[in-house]
Amino acid sequence: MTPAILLIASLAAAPVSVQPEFHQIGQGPKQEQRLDKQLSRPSPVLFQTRMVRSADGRWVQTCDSAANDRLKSMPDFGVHLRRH
Amino acid sequence: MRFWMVLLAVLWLQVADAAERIALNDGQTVSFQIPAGQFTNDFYFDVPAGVRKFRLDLDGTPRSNTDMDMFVRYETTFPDRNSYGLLPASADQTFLWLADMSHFQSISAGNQEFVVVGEHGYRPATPGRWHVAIVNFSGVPVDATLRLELRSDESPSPSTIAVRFDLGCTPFDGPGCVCNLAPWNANTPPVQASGNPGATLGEQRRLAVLDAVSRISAGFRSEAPITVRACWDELEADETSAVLAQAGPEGLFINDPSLFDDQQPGLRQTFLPESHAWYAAAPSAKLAGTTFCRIAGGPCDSRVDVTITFNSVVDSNGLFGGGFYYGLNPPPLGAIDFIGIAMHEISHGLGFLSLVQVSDGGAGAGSEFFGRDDIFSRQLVDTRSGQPTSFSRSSNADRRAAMTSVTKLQWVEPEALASPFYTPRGSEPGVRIYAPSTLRPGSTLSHIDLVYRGDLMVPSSSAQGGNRALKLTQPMLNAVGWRSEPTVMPSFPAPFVGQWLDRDRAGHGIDFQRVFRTAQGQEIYTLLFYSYDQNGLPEWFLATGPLVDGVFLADADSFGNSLVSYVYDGNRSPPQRADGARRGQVRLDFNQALDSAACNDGIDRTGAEQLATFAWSLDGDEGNWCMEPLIALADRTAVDLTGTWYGGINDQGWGASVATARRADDTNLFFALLYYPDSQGTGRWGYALSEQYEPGAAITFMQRRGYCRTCPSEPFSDEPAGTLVPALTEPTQEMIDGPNRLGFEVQFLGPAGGSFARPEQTPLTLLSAPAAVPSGQ
Repeated sequence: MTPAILLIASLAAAPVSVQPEFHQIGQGPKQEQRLDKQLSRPSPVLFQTRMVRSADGRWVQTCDSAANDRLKSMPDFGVHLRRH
Repeated sequence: MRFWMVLLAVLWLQVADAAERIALNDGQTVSFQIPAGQFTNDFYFDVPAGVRKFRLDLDGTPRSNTDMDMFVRYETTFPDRNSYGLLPASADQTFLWLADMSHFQSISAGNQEFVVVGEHGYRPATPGRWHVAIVNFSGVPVDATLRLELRSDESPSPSTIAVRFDLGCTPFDGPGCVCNLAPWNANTPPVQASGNPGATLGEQRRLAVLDAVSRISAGFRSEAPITVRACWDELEADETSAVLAQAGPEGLFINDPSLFDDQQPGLRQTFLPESHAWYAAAPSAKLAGTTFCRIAGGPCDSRVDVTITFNSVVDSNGLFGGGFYYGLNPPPLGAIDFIGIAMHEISHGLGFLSLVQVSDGGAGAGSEFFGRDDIFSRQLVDTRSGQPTSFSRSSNADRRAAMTSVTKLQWVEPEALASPFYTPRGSEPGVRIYAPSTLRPGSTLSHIDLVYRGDLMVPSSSAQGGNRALKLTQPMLNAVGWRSEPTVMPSFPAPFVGQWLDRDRAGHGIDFQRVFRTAQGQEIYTLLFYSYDQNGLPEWFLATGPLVDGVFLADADSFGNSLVSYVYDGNRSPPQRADGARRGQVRLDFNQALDSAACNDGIDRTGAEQLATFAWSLDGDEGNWCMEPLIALADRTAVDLTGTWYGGINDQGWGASVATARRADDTNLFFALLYYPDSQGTGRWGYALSEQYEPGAAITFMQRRGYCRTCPSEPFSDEPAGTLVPALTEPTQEMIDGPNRLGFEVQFLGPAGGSFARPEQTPLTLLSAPAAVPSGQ
């Protein structure tokens, strides 16, 4: 490509500077603070494939579940917003 | 905030709302600096006909310790201020305000956000105007770029499921997490594994997982990349039993504003097709057009959609022969097929699961997760009675019985029934769900019955028989959020305006009225909640805000309340001001109320013309009620005086909710709730009812003693407390010099006492818009 074409191509790809209007969000966060958002809820169950030895000595594979212990360490449901 | 003056602020907004100024063009990147703690709603773009997909990318520097979020919605703009003319009081409230109005969100903990909207989500890339709001939550300015790309030739994309073999436990896992990554990198020589070219055991393991996700993803389309984390752990194993692998979704999402938490309404998740139902993280991300971390929040380098953990003991203790079979070719009989097991468990993580409790204890078998449906269970019917009934709308006891009915729990979603892998069985209407006579936690309900031996999602991998094809699993996963057919942007008809009540909470109610449309197209409504305090004495609360996608998103006042109590003092102007000492929040949701928790409370609501979920919190109490119109549409009068009336801006602080109805004998019923202060300025109400309304005729005013909002329903008593003389003839809005007049003299029959009066011929006008004549009437 010629330098002219390269220049045109680079200009076309360059971001266009704009100046939006801004609005304050409350008092604004303090320096170095961030909003910690959490919009999902941990699943209450995990599914497990399990092998169980049957009465005749064969292994049988089944799928069952276990309580998801992580629930105990997670906050209650909701939109969780906190500063950290 | 002043009573009724609220509406002046709202009217002001019609002029004050700034139009968006910056158009985004296809293929162009714009750059700007966003100051610390500020947001902009200045961006918009137009999607022309023929576009099947668009993508928005927001990027910012510096990367560290900064956080930008992006919100996107169709048609109406993000407003500058709420309907009180206020900006949200805090960063938290700003986030909630914008997120509640958005259709798509990208809200990760960093500032690399993106949204891809294709043609197969619940809200497809529809021609018309789209709007973008961007927030900088960090304490420093951010240099940002925003880029739009429109595509007419590539939608939907084949889905990609990435596997993380390098991500151990993260802060989101909480204590007790074990995610051993070493087995993925085991340098031991490869084992016998037909078709698996891995040069080491570690590589064989990785190739086997990649093969499993490749087989699953081949059948799906997704604009959002899905990520599975793969772990090892020493799970339970002994001579009689061993866990081979376990998996589940890393998160759940629900679109349910009535799911209050800490007195705050649940945030809407409007990319989900069905309301009041849980979705797994992966299909949620697919529907949202971005990654899990960007819809849930949190750092994107440590959030995944699904985690699967394999038992490292299986390959090491000799109890299980040669351990896992890692072959890419079909497994020999009796092998522990690593790929088949991985596919099965990952499919659970992708949404093939019900959250209904399948064990006794706790809330009991049949109970729902947080009292809400899940999208899997929404596809099921209970056929025990011979007449299929919705499993989700059933009682806990009926759900429990259906789950142990062996053959009576059926999946009836049409796509599965049209599948070549579905074979009708006698009179059974659908795919039989695994429902053995004894509850088997995890197996019961979240699998198809063993008669489908050889399918992926039978509850026994022995019965799976080495199968690695999705078969019925594919249409069933489609039904829980993976469908990829083109869709149409949903529309939301205007709800009934007037008085609503919960037939299980008789004596309480709301007056819900449309007031006006803003210049930007938002419909602003008011909600007046009339109820009783702890002593059974009448009190009321007011809310105002936009109706967005069929949900009344009441705005926060200067105290942060969206359900507001007012105090009257005749010696000040205006006399009515918000009581900041009382805390209240409210949402009114007209979407799929029939499937909401509030309307599935066992009460027979036969004959209800419409239903809505009314969720409120007041001073620490919460309620979630199922509302229906008080007056049937067919009974509305030709001259419909229904609405909220007041005495104009020079006589604020009192008002009336009026309902009129046509009777069988051609007479007109007139019902008015009058709101007025007691001697302490507390807002009280009473009612007047005439079966034969004659303008200018006096009606006895009654004060009702009821039961508190959280008390059991009980009979209430009425006592005469004055006289009302209504002379309302024309439903005209904001015309205080019009023909409508009202006089009254009432007392408050309670400890506070007090009287309140206006002479006959006091001018009155509609604050709300005149009731529209319903279509078809």
